[in-house]
Amino acid sequence: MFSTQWSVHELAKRQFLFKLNANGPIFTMLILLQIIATVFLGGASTSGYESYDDPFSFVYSTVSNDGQIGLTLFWAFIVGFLLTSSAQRNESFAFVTNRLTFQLGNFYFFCAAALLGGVTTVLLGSVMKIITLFSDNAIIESAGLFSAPLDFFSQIYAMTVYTLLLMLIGYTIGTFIQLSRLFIMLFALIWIAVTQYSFFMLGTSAGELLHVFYGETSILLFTLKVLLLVGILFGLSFWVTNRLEVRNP
Amino acid sequence: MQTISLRDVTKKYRSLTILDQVNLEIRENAITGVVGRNGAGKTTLMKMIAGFIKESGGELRVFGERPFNSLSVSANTIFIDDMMGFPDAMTLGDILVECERFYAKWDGELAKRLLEYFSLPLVLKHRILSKGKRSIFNAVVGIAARCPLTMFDEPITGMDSAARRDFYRALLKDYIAHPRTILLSSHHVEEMEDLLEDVLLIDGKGIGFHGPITELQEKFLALQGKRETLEIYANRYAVIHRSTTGPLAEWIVDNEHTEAELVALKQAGIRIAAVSASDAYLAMTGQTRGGVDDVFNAMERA
Amino acid sequence: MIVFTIILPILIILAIVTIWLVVRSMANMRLKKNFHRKLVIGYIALLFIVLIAAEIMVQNHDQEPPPKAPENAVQFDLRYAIDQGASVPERLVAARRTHEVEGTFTIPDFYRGAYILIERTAGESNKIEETVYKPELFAGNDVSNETLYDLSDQLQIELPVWDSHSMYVPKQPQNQINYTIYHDSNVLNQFTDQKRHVSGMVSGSMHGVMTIHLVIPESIELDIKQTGDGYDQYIELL
Repeated sequence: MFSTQWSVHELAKRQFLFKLNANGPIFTMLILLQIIATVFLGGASTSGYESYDDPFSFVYSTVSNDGQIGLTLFWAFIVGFLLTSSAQRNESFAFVTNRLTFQLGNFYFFCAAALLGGVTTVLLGSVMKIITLFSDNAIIESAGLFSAPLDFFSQIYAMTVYTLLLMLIGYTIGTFIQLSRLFIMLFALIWIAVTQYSFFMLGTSAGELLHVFYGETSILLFTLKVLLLVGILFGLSFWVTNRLEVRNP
Repeated sequence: MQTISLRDVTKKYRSLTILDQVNLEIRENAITGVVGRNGAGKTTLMKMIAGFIKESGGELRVFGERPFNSLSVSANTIFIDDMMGFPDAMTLGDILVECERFYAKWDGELAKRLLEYFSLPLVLKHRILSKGKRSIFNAVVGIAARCPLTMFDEPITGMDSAARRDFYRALLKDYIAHPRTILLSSHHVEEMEDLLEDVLLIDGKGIGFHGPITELQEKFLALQGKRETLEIYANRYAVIHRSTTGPLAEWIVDNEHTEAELVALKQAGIRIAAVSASDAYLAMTGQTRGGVDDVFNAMERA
Repeated sequence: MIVFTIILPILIILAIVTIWLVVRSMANMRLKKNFHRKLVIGYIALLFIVLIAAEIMVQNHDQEPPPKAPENAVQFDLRYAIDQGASVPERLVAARRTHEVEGTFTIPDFYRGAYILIERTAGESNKIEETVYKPELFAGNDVSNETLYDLSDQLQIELPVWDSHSMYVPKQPQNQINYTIYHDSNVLNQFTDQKRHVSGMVSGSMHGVMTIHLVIPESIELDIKQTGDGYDQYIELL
């Protein structure tokens, strides 16, 4: 009956390639943000101790790639959110797709973008190392590619995973808001509740939630937890996406 | 062979019913004009067929499958309208490359030649095109995709008359070379009369008429003559439309006459003519009494 | 707190709008689709070059990192140990000397440079026992204080000069110490052996000056100007 038949996998792949081609500015934006982080926050992220007390003066500064990481994660959240816009949806549905391949294409796109975010952020550490080496008495406390390749790759892995998680969180929130603007209110309430609650009532309940991931030192367990969360976020957003009416102003 | 079949299909937005219990079969490899007044539900029907929106009730089948979320239906269907969103960052050339990625029967050469003919350089971005140029580009995509089910929703919006004529010509030529099922919605029935095989008239949440275009024309007769003569002889027919051009008046009436009646009319000096499809369409959807003039007349009286 | 709850979402929304506008305007610019791809590839290539450069620079960085601080060194309180007569690690001792003093013993004014603890002992003698302790300086970014660097060796001191009735504290050499440390962000170090870092921990002797412990018999008369609690002059009578 059909003259053309696609498999879900094949079409998800094509949607992904289309997303990559269509969203070049998103990657340029990442590079821009990382350069901003390096140039402006790079100098400022030196925290440290200073004492000028004749005849003794001591300046102890710390340089790290915290700034780049912060802005990259921030970018990730916003990218996740932006991909739920109706313009993005209409672009995808201008071509062959159903809601599953659309969602999978987005997911592959997030994986690719997260990998780029992870690799570039860890590599940017080298820039900070070189900046550090130009100052007096530099100490480099870091796993280099040559000295500890496994550590180096585990850093890329951790950063990629966090970037992906933030994209999916942004995507899930955005999807619900696309379904109904009322969810803005709900998310605002949840936000206020979580922050107020954790600050006044239990001290660190939000922190403990983060600790489930951040405090995990076993890669295997971490991966399992991440897969679980990715599954939940993917399922939640797909539950909404799957009933969305598209190209319908 | 039916490409599309609807059984009691209803579409509602909350309490607002757009289409109510529609039954319809669209045959394969025919050009069907989808006509109807603004807001009649043409676009809703086509978006449902394309799988963009979900039917609220009934059974909708395209190529034997429910279109909502069907990958196969999507792969064999293209829906062209003036709201078609292409990525801002892409040039027309980039978009053609993407089309090739998604449509198995895509004819890139044809698309390029047509765009060249319509003077649309491939380096332009879709966003900056004028309304007419954008419609032309979208229509070219629709033709070159050669999908077994191709739907155009108001494809000629903004096009000048030369472009409209060229579009219909291009569509017809490519259709003859590569037959497919085409749904074409437009308000300009007179322009596509030569193109259409079938007409689907949507009126009042349902199907007003569906069948070959000649059948639509045969439903009516045009009676031309002096107004006084018409009022004497033709008053017993259901008059659907009255118009006056010069000294003669023209009434469009239901085609339910016996031979004897026709002879009588002719003897009274009334010319009997076939109606054009567009007149038939207007007659069916256009209001039988007055039209918008009545609104103003009523206000003057009050 | 309120800042966190209200200002942060506002900032996020502003950022979303800004980034969205930038992305849109980038799309409208006359940039080829390939521009972005080339930019990303070029950027990654550049970062890899920087990575190799940094690796080579770090390997050729001939400066040895300073030694790690000895265990419990940070917790050790020199003044308290002297006061209590507890033992002081030998590494801190810069000099142990005995001086004979005639008549009144004075310490002329000095500007910082030393912290003097005077302990009086019973008995008749004209001998003052002097012990000079080196200043200490520890710094690091470790949560657990386990791997603080011991920078004490970099502090230069000039020993006091004695004559028969006084002790001068000479002008101390300028100790200007700058250290810059690079560490990877904590976010990245989840699975590495690297310790998580907190912002700079610094510990050590007050103002980076030597401590002079003098044991002076009761029989020697002191002529020492002591104002207030002695803090101004860095002289303290135990």
